[in-house]
Formats: sequence, structure tokens, C-alpha cells
Amino acid sequence: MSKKRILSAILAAALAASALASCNNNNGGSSSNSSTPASDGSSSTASALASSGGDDANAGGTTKNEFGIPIVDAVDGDTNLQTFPISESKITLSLWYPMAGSMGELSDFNDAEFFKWYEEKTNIHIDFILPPSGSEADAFQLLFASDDMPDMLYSQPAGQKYRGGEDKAIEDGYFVNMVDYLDIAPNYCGWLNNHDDFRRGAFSDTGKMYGMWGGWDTMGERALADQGLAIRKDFLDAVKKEVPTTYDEWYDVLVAFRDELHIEAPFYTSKWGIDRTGEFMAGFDTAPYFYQRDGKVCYGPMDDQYKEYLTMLHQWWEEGLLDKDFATRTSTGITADNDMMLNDKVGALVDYGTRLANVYVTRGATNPDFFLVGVTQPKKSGSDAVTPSYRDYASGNDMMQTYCMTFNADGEHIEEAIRWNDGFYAQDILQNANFGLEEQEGTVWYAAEDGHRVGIYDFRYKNPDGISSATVLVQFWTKNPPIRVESAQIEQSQEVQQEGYQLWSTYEPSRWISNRITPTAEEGTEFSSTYTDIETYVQECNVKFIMGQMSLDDYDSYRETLKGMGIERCIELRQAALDRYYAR
Amino acid sequence: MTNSSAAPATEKQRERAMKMKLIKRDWRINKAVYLMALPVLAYFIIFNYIPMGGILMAFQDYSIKKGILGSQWVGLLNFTNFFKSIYFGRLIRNTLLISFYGLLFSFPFPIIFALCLNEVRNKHFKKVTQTISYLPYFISVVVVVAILQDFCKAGGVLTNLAKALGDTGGALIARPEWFRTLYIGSNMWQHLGYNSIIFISALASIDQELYEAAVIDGAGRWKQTLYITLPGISSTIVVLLILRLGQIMNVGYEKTILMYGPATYETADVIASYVYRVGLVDANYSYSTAINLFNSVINFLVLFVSNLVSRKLSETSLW
Amino acid sequence: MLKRTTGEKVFAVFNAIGLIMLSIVFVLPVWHVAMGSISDPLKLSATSGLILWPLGDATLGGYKLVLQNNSIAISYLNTLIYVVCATAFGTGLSILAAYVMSRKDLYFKGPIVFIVTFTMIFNGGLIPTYMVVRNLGMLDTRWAMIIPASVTAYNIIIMRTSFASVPDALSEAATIDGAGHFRILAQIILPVSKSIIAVIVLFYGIQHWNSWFNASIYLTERKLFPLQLTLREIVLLSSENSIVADADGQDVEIYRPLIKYATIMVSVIPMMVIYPFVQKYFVSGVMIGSVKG
Repeated sequence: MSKKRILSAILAAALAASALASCNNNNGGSSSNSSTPASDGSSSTASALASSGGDDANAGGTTKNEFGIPIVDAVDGDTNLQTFPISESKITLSLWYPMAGSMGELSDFNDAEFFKWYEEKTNIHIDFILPPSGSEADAFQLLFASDDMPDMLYSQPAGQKYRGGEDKAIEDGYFVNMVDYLDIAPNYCGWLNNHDDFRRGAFSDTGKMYGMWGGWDTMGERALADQGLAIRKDFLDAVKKEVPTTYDEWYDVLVAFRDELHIEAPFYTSKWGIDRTGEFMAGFDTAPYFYQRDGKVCYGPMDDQYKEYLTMLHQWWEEGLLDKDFATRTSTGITADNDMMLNDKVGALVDYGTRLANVYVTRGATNPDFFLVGVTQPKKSGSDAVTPSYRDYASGNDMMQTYCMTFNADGEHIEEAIRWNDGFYAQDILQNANFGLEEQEGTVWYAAEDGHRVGIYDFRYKNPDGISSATVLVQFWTKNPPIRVESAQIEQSQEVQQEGYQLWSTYEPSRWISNRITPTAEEGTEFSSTYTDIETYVQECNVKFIMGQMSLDDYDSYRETLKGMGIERCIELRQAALDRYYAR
Repeated sequence: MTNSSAAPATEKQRERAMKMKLIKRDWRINKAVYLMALPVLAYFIIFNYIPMGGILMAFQDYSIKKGILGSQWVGLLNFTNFFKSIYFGRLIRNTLLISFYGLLFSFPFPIIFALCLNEVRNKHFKKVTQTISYLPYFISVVVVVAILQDFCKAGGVLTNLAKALGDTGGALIARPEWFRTLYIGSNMWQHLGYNSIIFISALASIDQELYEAAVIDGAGRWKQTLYITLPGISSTIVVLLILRLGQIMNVGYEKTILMYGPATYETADVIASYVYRVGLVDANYSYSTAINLFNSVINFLVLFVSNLVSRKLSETSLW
Repeated sequence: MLKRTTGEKVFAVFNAIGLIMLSIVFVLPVWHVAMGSISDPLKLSATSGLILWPLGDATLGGYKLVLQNNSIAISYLNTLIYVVCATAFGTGLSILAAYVMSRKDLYFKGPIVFIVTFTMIFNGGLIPTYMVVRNLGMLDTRWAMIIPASVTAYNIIIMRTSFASVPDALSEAATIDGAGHFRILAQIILPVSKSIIAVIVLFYGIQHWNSWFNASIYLTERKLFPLQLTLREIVLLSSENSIVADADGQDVEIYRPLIKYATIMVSVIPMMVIYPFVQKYFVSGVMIGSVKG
């Protein structure tokens, strides 16, 4: 672990040096100036004012690098630079925390071990505001209309968007521009400085920072794909077939599932008809939404390959190879219905890694042979290389997590709130958040050979006190802390699950568009007003094409309809934003 | 009130004096009535009329930060956008069809049910049936939709039933062609008994002497129904019908958004659910308000016309 | 009674059969859920047809899990508070409004009627109403569940229709006796309008019992949530956000259908127990009202 850190520190230094060089060569590129709070929306002047070098000192006395980020004496939080307690007298901060769906039997997150401990350490009490699950997006919008914006919001900017975009939320005075407060968030700066993409994603094009972004502890090393394509190995054995690698092989396998095993849903697809991450279509060289080819933005449904893929799915649907009720699944995500899974009605699907484990069996379900394995994306022919274009719609970016902590600009304790959150970026605290408290070694977690923590599988899944695994996750560990430890995801899982993670995590990040591209306010408004309708329409038509309610012969007129709805303008808008992203 | 601008000034003054006299007299007699009206009017003004000021948003590019006074005015842009939108036709069609079919099926059935029940002579049977018929009404919409989803999923009770009757398409809940049937069917299941209450109570209030007189005149049950029962509840029927007609463009979103999904948008998405999605989920308040306003205007016209017709035909009207 | 003709007898038989079948249709879905809620969880998750009897050994395990969840208990209590208070408030105002609107000699009756009925057609929409509730400081308080949306023009008009049908002679006689409007309302109109008031109370009660949407926008404090909102989280949703939680919480997964059925039953049983009594009073109220009227 420590060796890794030294290495990454050297790497970071080298990177910073090269970035410095390129910055000097390229004055037109937009970087930001930290000493001038970018409170107005004038992006062009911001870049003109960009600081000239790495050893620029500001009034506070902190040295800043060329991106305006204080240079700190820590890499990825290895030394905790925050001072505790954060407040001398006990204060209460409100935190909007859309985790109601994962509380288990916990009635208040203040009862969670970590938060109890952290309250003591920081002297800050958190008043958790939990929007009703299923209404998070509504609740988020209403915060702007209500008078009581919480001190902090731990939101998912991908789904909980301020109308007009992140910059606009800062310009309209709702959230602080985090750039102005980097001085008091040294641990966070330690991560920003060490990971180029993380930094790039954290800034907007105009040099603003929406908040403190979540990330993975393995940033820069590799991307974790916690979901992917999986197939029932026991079924494969039953029909005496190998794991399929091409679409033709898949077809044969699914037919065998249908004919020999009478599986109701040989291939289970999401209710949108297209799996959300586009895993299964990757071999067709297209993607479900926007993606890029060498910096050029494309929209999957406009591709001929997309039509081909739909044609294949339609054929499969006609032949009964798809879940015949896929369009009825109530879940908007990709997890399969339980009664389908438990009753052996599903042959293959795109799902989360946790499903891969044979926990259904250990949980006393019906079939001891149940065995689901992760597989790589199919190809058109054996020699093709597959480049998945759309890794994960929610995170969209291998560096960032979906969550971002934003701070109420009118808050009474902005600095305390930021410092409270900054703690999560220090190793000693983030380890506690991910695995359980220091003193819980041996009961909640154990130390692996190289010293890093591993959550105890049995504690979670066969809890001695009979606490449900969902509750353990939030009571002893923390659900989605700002920095998530990837090994926490992997190592506590079973071998077969880990195998899946390894197979899926072979992505080349060259095709997907980071969800951290930031449209300008005008672009954002125009894009969202145009694209909302298109998205609904595409989702709807996917299903209809597959089910044959719309003929694929009409695909061209369908594309014309999309054009009429303004898809080309949407692509242009995405392109502009992507160009600016790479210029950061 | 009266606006006779052509009349000479003196007459006007006299009229005004008359009016003042009337008002004074009215105040003397009905002071207490106005006192009673006060909280009611205050309530409606606060919770219904003040929010109506928000309708201005429909003509703006509204931003919460700037407020209604500071936001940019865009004229009818939001409306023209809506009329041009590819969803315009579909939303109108869906809203009207669900309302129309709803009216067609769920309006007459409670009346028929009430009449049938009225014919039952065994008091206990009548009572038990009536009690059972209310049962679904005491189940909340959330639960009704949960049960409906359970019954209409693949292999669910209703899906299997449809299959047995020759249907071949799989889960009913996800199929656009079934949405209206399920929506209206479950509404009827839930409301039939309850909606009949008002008719049963109207039936019960028909003067029993009329029936006795009819029996003496030798009229059978059928004739009694035709000449006494139905006319006896006709004013109730007409009032309720006008009210329902006025709501023809008003299909609530609460049940719809619990029930629908992308697969069924084509028939399920109604103006109200679209207003909800655009307004709350996408926070496009102006566009959402514009659509809502358009909807309200149509509603108003419908109610106005149906009331007019009703006043002409049956002398029963709301105002 | 009189002799019935053959046609009438045949009709009576069919009528009875029809009503019995209708009754079965009313009860069956609830019965299905009730039986499902005491079924064996494994068998339950493997079945999808109509459940007429408990599958496997009957168990109360689902109820145990549900009753352990104190968010259901809290939201239950909240709903009771909301239903009682909001119904009382709404019915009270409606009675006043209906009385005002049923007066025949009121000079400003027209405008008042208009102000009330107009709200049936026009409303300011979600956000402006939300703003008013916010400005009144009701957000995140019980008031938000009690006051807004508790008076509807529809119910007032129904009531007015009924009040107006009370013979004028009664109130005129009272006026001669020196009774004021409040006394006329309390001693003449209300006693003969019990049935319509019962109907309106029921209308309002059910409306508030059912309501979840307003709660989802006006409330963020979970300890104020009404039952329906909690129910929605448990029985209807697998939201985008909880996908990972779904995938993580496998051990409760196979109990999910059972929990779903048991939760539904927990919300339905008290109503099933109470409503026959409510309606008994209610039906007799209708009878009394009709005899007097």
C-alpha cells in the first residue's frame, strides 16, 4: 500500500510538471483562478485571468498549483490534514441524504456506528433529511422552492439536476463555489492533485466547482465495473455448451435454453429493452445513448449498427428468447425480478456483481445448483475487439462516483460543513466509513496480509445478531461514503463474484463520455428541454421495435422523427461541452 | 353588477341608492351568513386564488431565484411549444379517451347497482352486499395499484385469465392497449359501491307514498322504477353528471404515475402526468404551468357548455 | 307484501346472483393478498396465480417482520391524526359554505358561489400552491397535511344541494321564533342532514387516508410521513437509488413478496374492521334522513 502511494506521488509530480508545461504553451485553454471567486458567469475572462504558475501564493499563504488547487502535503488522504474537532461548541448541520431506500431497519443514520463516532470526533451533529425514496428528484427540485435549503446536500448530480446546470446553481446563489473553499479542504485537494481526470471532472468549464465529488480509492489505476453480463453456468452445463463469446454462439445457447430447458426468459433485458449500460450491444459498435469516437459525439439510436442490434433483438423476441414481459418490469434498473431468478426463469442477464454470488443458495432458496457467472461482452465474430462505449450511465466516469456534496451558499456554517466533509477524504476516516471503526477489527472487519481492511463476509451476510445485510451495511459501514474503497466491494464478495468484476473491468475509457462534461446554462436549458422528450421517445420506441409494434422498416422515418425533435442540435450541444471538457 | 351606461345620471344615482338599500337590508338580515362565509372565502382565496397568480409563469421563462416579477416574459412561447410538441396530440387523445371511457362505464354502473340493490327485498342480503361493495373503497390507491400490478404481471391472475380467453401478449400491465381497461376497471372496482352511496341515499329519500300510490294504481316494479324512482333521483344524476363532465380533461396524475411506465406512455400519459413530469421532475415550471393552464381553460369551457345545456334541458344547474 | 309477477321473480333471482358474483369480485383481490400474506415465503415467491388458501404452512413471519418496522407504526399514527383533523376541518368549513350557498335571499350569493365553484376548474398548479404552503410556514409540519387540500368545492356543492332541499318553511318558522342563522344551521339544518354529512365525512376521510402525493412534496421529516407514503416505498418502488440496496440486501429478498402482502394487509385490516361499523351508522343515518325529509 505504502509503496503504491510513493509511486503515485512521484507520478503525480511528473504529471503536474507536464501539465504545467502544457499550460504555459496553451494560454487559451480554460483553467481557473482560485483567488478570484468566480461568482459571475463570464467564462472567457476567467480563463484570461488564469494563474500563471504552480508556485503562485495567494493571500492565505497556501501554495497553489496551476489549476488553483492548494498544494498539500498528502496524497490521497494518507495524512489527515484536517484539524479536529471541527467546531469548538457543538453545532448541528442539516444534510440532505437520499438514502431512504437503503436504511434497512435503521430509523436514523445517527444510530449508525460510524456517524456516532464521527459526531464525537468533529463535534458536529448531523440532522439527516431523507427524501421519500422514489421521489428524490422531486424533493431535490422542491428544495429550491422551499426556504430551507439544508447546509449540505449529498446528491447525485446525474439524476438530481438544477434546471440550467451546476454552474447556474452556483450563479443563482444556491451553492457555494467550492473553488473558494479549497484552502480548508486539504484532504480533498490531495486527491484532486493526484488524479488528472478526477480534477478535470470536479471543475466546470468556467472553472467553478459544484461541490466535493465522490471518488474511488483506486482512481487512476483501474475502473471498477460492478455490473455486467452474466449467464447461468449450470444451464450451460445442462445443455453442454461453452460460455458464448459471439452473438451467434449466444443465439445457439439461448435457443438451447429455450428448447431444452424451457426457460421462460433465456435472455432477460431491462424494461427499456436495451440494457442501460449497453454491455450487450457493445459488440455491435454502438451504444444506448451518447458516446464518442475519438472526441466526436455520436448518438447510438442514430447509428445503423443500433438498428442492426434492434433487428437482432426483435428476432430474438419473436423466437421467444427474450423475457417476454421485459417491458413490464417495475424496476427501472437492471436487477431482475426475484421470482424470476429464484424460479430459474432467467438464463442470462446484465446485472450487478452481487447477484453473481450464489447467495440465493446460501439463503436457503430452492436450487442448490444455482450458479451464475460473469462473462465478457459478445462480439460479432471471434476476431473483433469489443469497445464498450457506455460504461455506466450513473457514474459515466471511471474516476467519479455518482455522489457530490454541495454546500448551501446561505448556510450558517459553510466552513464547518466543508471541513466535516473533508474528513471523509482522509484515509483514517474513510477506512472507518468503508469498513467499520478501528476498534471493530475482528468483529466487523479484519486486516488482510498487506494491511488493508476487508469487511467480514459472515458478519454481513450471516450476522450473529440476525441483523439483515442491508442494515449491517448502513449500521456498521457507510453507504456510499465520498471516497469508496473498491476492495470493500470486491474482497468481501465470493470468488465467483470477484471473477465477474475482473472480467468486466477491462474497459478502455475511450468511448464513453464523462458525465462530468458541463453544458453552459443556455446549453443546459436547451439540451434538457429538447432531450427530455427525445429520451422518452427513444425508450418507448426501443420497446416497440423489439416487440414489433413498430416495424424496423420504418427505422429511417424514426430517425427523421428524432431529427425533427432536435437530436442533431443535442449532439452539437454535447460536442461543444465535450470539447471544453478536454480543454480543461 | 348592472351596467347601463346609456342611462341618465339621475337614474343611475337612484339605482345606486336602491342597491345600497338592498345591500343594507341584506347585511342586516344575513350578517351571520356572511360571517360564516368569511372563513370559507379566506380558505379558498389563500389556497386557490393566490396560487392562481402563479399562472403568470406560463408566460415567462420562470426562474425561482428571480421570482414572478423578475423572470423574463416570453409571451405565448410555452404554449406554442406545447402545440408543436409531438406529444400534444397524444396527451389530448389519452386524456379525453380515459375520461370518456371512464364516464361511459363508471358513471352508469353505480346507478344501476343502486337500482338493483333497491330491488332486493331481503334486508340482510341487501345490507351485506352493500357493505361488501364499499370494501374496495377503503383500500388506498397505492395498495390498489400494488395489487393491480401483482395481478397483471406475467403469470398474474388477470394475465392468466386473459391468456385463457385467447390473449397472447404477456403481462397486461405493460401493454398500452390494456392500460385504459386496467385504469378504468380498477377505478370501477374501487369506486362502484362508494359512488352508489349517493344514489342509494337519493333513492331512500324518495317519498314512499308515491310508491304506495303507484301500487294502488296497479303499476308494477318496472313502471315504478321508470316513473317514480328514476325521476326521483334524476336531479342527483344530472348534478353529478355535470360535475363529471366538467372534469373531462382532468385525469388525475396520482394514480397514473403509480401505474404507468415507458411501455405504456402511449396510452397512459395524460396531460396531468405530463405536467407533473415536466414540472416537478424536470423543474420546467413555466412549460408545465402553461400546459396546466391550457387544460384548465378547456375544462372551464366544457363545464360552462354542459351546464348551459343542462339548464336548458332540465332546469338543473350548478349556478 | 304484494304478490310478485313471474317476471319480477325471475329478475329477483338473477339480480341476487349478479349481486353475489359482484360481491365475490369485490372481495377476491383482498382475499388473495390475505392468503398470500400468511403463505410460506419460498412457495409464495415461486407462485404467481390466484392464492385461495395459504401456500405451504401458514406463517405469521411476514407480519412479524412488518411489525418490527417502526416506520409503519409511526406513519400509521400520523395518518390517523391527519385523517381525523383534516376531515373535521374540511367538514366544518364545508358545512358553513353549504349553508351560505343554500340561502336563497343572499344578495352576494352569486359571487360567493362563483368563488367556490371556480376553484373546481382553475387551480394555480403544483408549484404556486407549494409556495403558498411554504410561505405559511407549513412545510414539514402536520399542518401541511391538515389544512391545504382539505376543502373541496365538489363536496360543498353536494352538501348545498342537500341543504337547499330542506323545506324553507322550517327555517322560516325558526326565524319567526327569533332564531339566528347559527341556530338555524345547528338546530334545523344539521339534524335533518345527518346522512349527507356522513357522506361528506366519508368522502373527506377517504381522501386523506389515500393521499400520498402532497406528503411527498410537503414533508421531508420521516417521522411525519403518512402511511401511504411509507407503503409506497415498501410495496411499489424499486427506485433507481435503491438498486444497489436491492442487490445488496439479498437475504430479505426472498421475503419481499411476503413482506409486500403482509404490509398491505397491515394497512388494510384495521379499515376492514372499522368500516362495516362506520357504514352501519351511515346507512341508518341515510334512513333517518330520508324518513324525516
